[in-house]
Amino acid sequence: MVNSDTHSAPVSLRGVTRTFGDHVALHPMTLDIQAGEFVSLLGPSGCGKTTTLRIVAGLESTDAGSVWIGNRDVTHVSPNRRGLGMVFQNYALFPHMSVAENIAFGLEMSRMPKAEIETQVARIIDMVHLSQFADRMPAKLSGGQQQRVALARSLVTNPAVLLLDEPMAALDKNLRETMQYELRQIQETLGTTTIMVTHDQEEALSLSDRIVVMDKGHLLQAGAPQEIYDAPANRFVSEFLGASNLIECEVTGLDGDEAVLSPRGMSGVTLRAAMRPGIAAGEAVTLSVRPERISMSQAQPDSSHQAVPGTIVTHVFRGASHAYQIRMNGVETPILVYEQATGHPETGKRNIGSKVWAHWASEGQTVL
Amino acid sequence: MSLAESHTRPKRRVGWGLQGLGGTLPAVIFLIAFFVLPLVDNTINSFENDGSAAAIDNYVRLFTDSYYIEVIARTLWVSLLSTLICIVLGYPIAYYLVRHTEGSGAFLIFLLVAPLMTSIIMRTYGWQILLARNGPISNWLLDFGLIDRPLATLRSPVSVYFGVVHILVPYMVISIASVLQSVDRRLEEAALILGASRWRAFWRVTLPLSTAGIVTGSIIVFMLCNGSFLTMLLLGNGSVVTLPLLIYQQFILVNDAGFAATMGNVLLFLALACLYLQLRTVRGRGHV
Amino acid sequence: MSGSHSVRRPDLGLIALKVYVVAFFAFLMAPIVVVVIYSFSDMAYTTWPITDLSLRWYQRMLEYRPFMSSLAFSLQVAVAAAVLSILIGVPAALALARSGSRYAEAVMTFLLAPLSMPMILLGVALLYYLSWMGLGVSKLSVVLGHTVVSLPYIIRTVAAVYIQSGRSQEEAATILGAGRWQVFWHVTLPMVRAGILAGAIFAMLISLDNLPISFFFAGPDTNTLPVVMLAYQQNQFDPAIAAISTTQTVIAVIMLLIVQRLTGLHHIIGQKR
Repeated sequence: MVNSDTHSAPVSLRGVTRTFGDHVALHPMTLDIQAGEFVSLLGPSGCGKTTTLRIVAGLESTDAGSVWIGNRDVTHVSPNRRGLGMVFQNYALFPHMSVAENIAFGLEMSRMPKAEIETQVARIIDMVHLSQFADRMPAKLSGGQQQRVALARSLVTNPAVLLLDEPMAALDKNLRETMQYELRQIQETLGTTTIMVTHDQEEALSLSDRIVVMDKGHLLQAGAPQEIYDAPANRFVSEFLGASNLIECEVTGLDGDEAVLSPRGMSGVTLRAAMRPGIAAGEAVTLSVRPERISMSQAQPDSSHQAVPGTIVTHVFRGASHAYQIRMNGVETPILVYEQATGHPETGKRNIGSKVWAHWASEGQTVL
Repeated sequence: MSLAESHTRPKRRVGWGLQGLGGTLPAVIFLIAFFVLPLVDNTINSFENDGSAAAIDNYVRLFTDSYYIEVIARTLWVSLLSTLICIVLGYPIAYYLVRHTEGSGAFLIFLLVAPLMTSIIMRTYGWQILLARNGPISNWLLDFGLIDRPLATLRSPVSVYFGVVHILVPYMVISIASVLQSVDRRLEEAALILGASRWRAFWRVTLPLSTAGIVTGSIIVFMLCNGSFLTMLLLGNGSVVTLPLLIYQQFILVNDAGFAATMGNVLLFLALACLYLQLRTVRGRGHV
Repeated sequence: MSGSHSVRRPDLGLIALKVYVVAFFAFLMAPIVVVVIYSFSDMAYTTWPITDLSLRWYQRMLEYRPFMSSLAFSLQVAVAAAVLSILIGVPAALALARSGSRYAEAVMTFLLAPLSMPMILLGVALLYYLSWMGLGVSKLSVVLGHTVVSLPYIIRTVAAVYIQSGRSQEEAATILGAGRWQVFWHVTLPMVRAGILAGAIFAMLISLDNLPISFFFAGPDTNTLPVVMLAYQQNQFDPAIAAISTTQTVIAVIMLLIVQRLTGLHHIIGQKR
């Protein structure tokens, strides 16, 4: 623990807007982040996530709306007076300063006494396991070490909010996973409010308390990782976050509190979905089903399951699971199924060309 | 270098669009005062004479007298020929530097740049020694029986080309090499795999892709050659009179300010034309 | 392919290329090497072959007052022009590298334009212009003339280094609490320091070798080394010129080595022309 009186602050964006020339980078966006929360801004490049982060940092101005950190309106406060920590995508370490000097920079700017700076720097360097590298220059460090220095530099000032701009993007896959656990652990220990920009859905899922999915300057959905994964609000979210089977259906009738659906192109197959306000007969809806929620069987399952018949066309071994594509008559896009690789002799032994039923429980689907 | 790249996020344009240029003010003012105005003043001077003739008299004289026309033509010809020689001599060196140096590259680049750090007078003096009638080259050729009279190179235009090419060829090599460096080697390899011979792969792939370097190098060499006079003065011994040399002579012998200004203006016109070409070719390639 | 090891035919093209490369660099080095050799000769004229070696021409160089006084003046001019160029050029380079203005490119082209002008024209034009201003043949005139040529070198190297370095370091410093001047002092300036130094050294080398501008401002107090060397060379043909040239080259090479240490030679390829 760096400092006993750790403080962290809520962050609030109220109708924040940004345009660059004719291009609207950020439509009016409102988002409340609680103190101590780890929030990821997730989306493809150009979705406005980086702009949002830079507006919180004060590196980018807003056209309208206000930014609040703690109980203070910081919209017109310059970035050096916002009390933030930030890790940049390329780490932005000062090339002419050693590891220790880099980390001490923020403390020196706050005119902390020399002796205290030394203690603070020593403590945080220890925390990120870089004690023996204190006098090295950044250019002589590995990517992972540079990342730790950047993290230490941003945390040593005990910021109210930590901003992370694609912090793992420059690391290779294995290192990324290690650093993810480490980052999460440090963040939980310090309890600093953290906002991370990423385009990596796995990173967002594994690190965040809450994920904010953005596209083309719009906030599409904000929620806990599990919630967003299991119940995507729309087509974009369901496709961007993990793999998804999207089955186009037509509502043919209502049966109590369930709607009866007929998948497009599949005659004679009936699916059901929980009623939702606004669903009426004759309307088109899309069912989203995650591949790992689907099972396969030779025989037709009982009517409590949602089931469609098809033919296995491809099989790929993915390490932790087997992926199958099942083609239905009359439908262009095959259904993707992940079957857990359990080591059981049965799994992974399905033949291409064999007829199967793909089925899932209705809890495993989302109506878009 | 690209100025456009430096700001990935376009700023909104307000007012005159001059935001952030305040820092350039001292430099801009300095160059207006001591670069632009002197050239303007020179242009004004070029229209002045002893008062007995029309304002454009200096220009009429320059462009009607066959001697001066010859000087202008010779200036352009020497520059053109020197540029061509620099291309032919420089291209293989650039190619070798980019494609065939492992380890020795830094040393060769040092050798290439080192002459730029010696004074032009020194290099000219070196050629005077080497090309002298009783100098080493002449003596060796005599010893081996390749010639039967001592060389008279120093009194001929040939020695001027030795001097000029020696001074300018590094610029050509550097221009070509920096473009060649960005030509993906795999393109050549792809051509080889597709069955082209090495010579054809070079001719059809590498050379066309490096023309940009040849063009920029040529403009630089041509421009610098147009303005150089020390080599003509010391190695030509009067055999190669170009515009800059004539300006120099006018200045020390005749001190006809108006006419010197007129010739200077012709040089200015040539330089501006080269600058314009340079900007166009660079912009055409999309990185200024 | 260890199995099908075939005897390689000698690559004639590559051999020819290598022979040419050697010949080319011999051509490049020959006039320089020959001057260095003659600077150590013992003869009154540059005749071939050299029979005896001595340091008499270095002695002559040291005793010939115009050489030493003009060398001192040249160094003063080079330093003064470099300092003046840094003072007005660095702010310009920093501003241009970060400016979002649509005129940034045009301003940059203008500031680099002196590189494309024939020096002799600049010299003549400056002489009449500065005389008209009342400065005439003076030390200040020489410094001003040389600054016109030095300035583009500083601006170009500093802008190139600054553009390459990106802005995230400065942003990081801001987030860490640094104000505008603190960012400039602690981050920006150290980042472009190598560029300033390299540009200044180039500018000084160019200044030391400049004849066409200095020539027009030559007077009893304002003779630069190249002016004195040209006069000497036109009147005498003894190897004292070789000695002073070699000395000047040694100074230049030392400067070049400093640049190399600071920036790496590959930088020069992009900058110098």
